[in-house]
Amino acid sequence: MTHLSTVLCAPDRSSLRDRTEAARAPGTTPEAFAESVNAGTVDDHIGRFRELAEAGVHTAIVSLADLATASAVADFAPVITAFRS
Amino acid sequence: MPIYERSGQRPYPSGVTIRLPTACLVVLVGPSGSGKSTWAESQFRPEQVVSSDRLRALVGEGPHDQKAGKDAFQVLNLVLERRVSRRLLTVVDTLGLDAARRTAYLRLARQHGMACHAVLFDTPAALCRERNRARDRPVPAKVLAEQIRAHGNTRAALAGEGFDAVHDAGPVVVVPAAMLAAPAAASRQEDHPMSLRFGLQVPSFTWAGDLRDGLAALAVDAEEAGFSSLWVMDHMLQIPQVGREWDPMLDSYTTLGFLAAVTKTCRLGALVTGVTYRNPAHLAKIVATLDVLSGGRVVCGLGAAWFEREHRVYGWDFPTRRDRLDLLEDALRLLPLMWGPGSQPFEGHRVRIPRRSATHGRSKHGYPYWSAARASAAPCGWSRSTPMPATSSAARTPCGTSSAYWPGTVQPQAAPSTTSR
Repeated sequence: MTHLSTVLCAPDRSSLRDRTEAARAPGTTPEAFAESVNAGTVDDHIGRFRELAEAGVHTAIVSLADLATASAVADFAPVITAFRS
Repeated sequence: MPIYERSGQRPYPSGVTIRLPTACLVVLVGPSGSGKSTWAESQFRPEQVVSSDRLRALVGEGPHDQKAGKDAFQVLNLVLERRVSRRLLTVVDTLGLDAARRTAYLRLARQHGMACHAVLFDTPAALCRERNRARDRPVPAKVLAEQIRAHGNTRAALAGEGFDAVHDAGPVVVVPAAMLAAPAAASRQEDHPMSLRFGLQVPSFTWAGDLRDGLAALAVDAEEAGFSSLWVMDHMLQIPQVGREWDPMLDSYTTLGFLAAVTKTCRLGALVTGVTYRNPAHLAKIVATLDVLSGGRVVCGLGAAWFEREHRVYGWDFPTRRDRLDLLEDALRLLPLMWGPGSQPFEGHRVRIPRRSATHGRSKHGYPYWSAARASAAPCGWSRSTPMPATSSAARTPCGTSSAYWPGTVQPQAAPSTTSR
């Protein structure tokens, strides 16, 4: 099974706060935005993808919500590393 | 406070971190002076806290105007109903000692599909009394004593009332619902690792700077970061879920050809190819060409297409759902024939090919395919690596906003004597 979702990933909560504030539209609460892009720290995402793996997912495709920023791909790399066998 | 520690948040002195989902009604429970309002102020934005004391001040003579209590609770209930109906994270800052009111809050949350958590404030009685005495208008000592007595029985009562969780006061982190149990799951991953492949979808091209250079750098970075596949959408216009119609949108397969040239290991595909945009025989040629030029890294994603507006803008017909599913089935049957030997004609539901010209794909083991639609039956030549479930409930639970595709492999095959339906 494969799985596609939008992801906003940051190394820590402080960075996540900054990116959420930078990316969310005025009039959207931080909570609604976070839910819509699955905003979380690296550790949050490792946990979430672990649950997906346990549910039978073998390939997870992510659409990075902040893809246009320089560090978006690198910031997600530790999540990938955590699932390398 | 949102997803993160609130900016300028005062550190909460003790306690285990409380994880709350983004859509949650939080019910505070504790006697006067136990620290509820101070905690709420330190952990949440002002508009997220609905306080009976503040409403007493609004409709009465001050935050401790007991005569204004009835009016204050009427306003409180109205505000709660409106906020919860919008699924806004909301904190109910009242004593929380009345079981009937707690039940009403819980019922309201359930009506709107919201989580409902309780937070207990087990502050020592002496400290509650000390804080109360320091107030301008203290709660009468007899009343406070009754609150403290009632609070002593509350922890046991809360356990049976149906809250999603009961927490002791502590620092708060608000996370998407899909990440609520992430710490425990991350621990499992650390202790007993499972493997998972990751793909990167590139749905928009709106970054600053040169588009070509930016795309090349992104692809190289993605490969170095460990992504095993790269995906683009197959749309002529940017879709409303991602951006504005006039945002840059590159042609899918031309872009994949470029990505094939700048990457070495990533698989490449369109997530997913709409069957209405191209003659399916031409699509077979495109996919086989990309497979040759990428060194066998293509994945053929197929779907029935849905975006009516771009069909209109490009002057294409937008077939009915039934016709599009027929077309998808035709493509699923025709593509393996196109990728195999032979040149017999093909006649499907919507597609007629008088003579299939050979398509020079290089794959000897078949092309991976992912289908985004649930065709009624897998056509010959297409095998699924996993069953296509009626619903993906098992996968949806931890997913959040997501889509699922059903992968398999299609074998190039010789045409049967008759290829009509």
